Amino acid sequence: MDLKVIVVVALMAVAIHAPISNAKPISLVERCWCRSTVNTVPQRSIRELKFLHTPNCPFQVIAKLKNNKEVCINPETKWLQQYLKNAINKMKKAQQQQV
Amino acid sequence: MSVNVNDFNDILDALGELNFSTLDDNVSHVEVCHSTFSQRALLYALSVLYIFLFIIGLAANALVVWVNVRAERTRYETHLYILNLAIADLCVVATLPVSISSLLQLGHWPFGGAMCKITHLIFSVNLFSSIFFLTCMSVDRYLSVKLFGDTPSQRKRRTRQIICVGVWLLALIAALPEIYFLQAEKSDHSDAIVCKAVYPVESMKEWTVGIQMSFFMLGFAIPFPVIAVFYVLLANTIHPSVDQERRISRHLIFTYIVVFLVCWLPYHGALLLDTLAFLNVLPFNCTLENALYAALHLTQCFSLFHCCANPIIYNFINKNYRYDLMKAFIFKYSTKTGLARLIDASHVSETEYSAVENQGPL
Repeated sequence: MDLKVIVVVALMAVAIHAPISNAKPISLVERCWCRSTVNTVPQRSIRELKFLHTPNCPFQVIAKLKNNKEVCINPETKWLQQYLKNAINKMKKAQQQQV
Repeated sequence: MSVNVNDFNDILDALGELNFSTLDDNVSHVEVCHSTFSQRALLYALSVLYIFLFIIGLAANALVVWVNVRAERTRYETHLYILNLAIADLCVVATLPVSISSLLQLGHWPFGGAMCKITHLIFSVNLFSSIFFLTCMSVDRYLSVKLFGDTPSQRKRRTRQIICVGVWLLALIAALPEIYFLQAEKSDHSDAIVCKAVYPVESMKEWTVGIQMSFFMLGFAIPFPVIAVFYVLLANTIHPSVDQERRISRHLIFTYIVVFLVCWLPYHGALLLDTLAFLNVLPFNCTLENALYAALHLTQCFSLFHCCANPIIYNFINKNYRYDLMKAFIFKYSTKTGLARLIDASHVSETEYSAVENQGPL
């Protein structure tokens, strides 16, 4: 597997926006947990991160804050993108060491 | 080399396994949540159920409408509500082929924006009407027995006609807010076009919660207590006795309440949970997320069985209705044979009813 492709896929995923859905037979198909996101969560407030991959939904990121609140983070948030880039770079190095 | 979902899954799995504490000491835990079931299988199964609902609902409600339209005079107190109820249920199930077509394409909506609004409008207006007419019937039956038994029937009929118009208007008002925002729009994360509500970005949360809660309030939280209370009050006016007819009536009233509850409570319960999840009142939980996704789809499908149950519990098990049904068929038959004079609605009596029964074996 080409790691460059992985990086591209992850960054593309980060750029996805959350859709909106409602409860009807027709449009229920796109119901997602994160239907609105926040842009202003500082990284230092976060205790846990959760990534969702569910049917017909975009890449969703839920942050559990230190005050125990949970919020959905806009995947375009700069520090989150940097965070993911760092994670991918670390993964890339780990794989190189295995070779 | 093409990008595919498997790569995406691998990334998410890898993210879950990495030791993030070396990246940032503040984030001590990372969780990755995958779907635990096949969305395709769920939507295909739902399509089969909706097809079943469509066939039964269409046949049963069309029959009720036909017989009630042919009835030459009002035979029982809530005839007008029952006719309107059947029309509403008929229109709800009539929209199902469009929904089924979309489900079979995993939510893709190939019918355009206008059809998006029209289909939802017909579905929502008639679903609300169906529920409102059931509510009116329970109130009307109790009031007719308890308070207005002596009112001239002409005056009661006029009142019921006005109430029916009011019900349709109220259903339209209840359905319009969501219809206003519906659009056929390209999905943000796939090639499909989806029919969905797009609310203003700055007030998206308020609109979403407001509309979902209005469904809950108008579709269940208000109607169900009214139906339950008035039918219980009605049942209490029927004194227990050795009379078989009265015992059947009490059982029937109990059936009205239970069927409404069984069809609608699961769906509105799931809708309420979904709203709480959306408001972040419920903490995120991978199991809850998957369960809620499946539950909303299944309970919504199940709630529409109400459109099939209504013709049965409000019509087919009613003795007067069965008589009207027989008379409608016999009249058609007898017209061809010149026996029309045998069926004269203005002289309906128990004797003639027995006569019709005697012709049954023919």
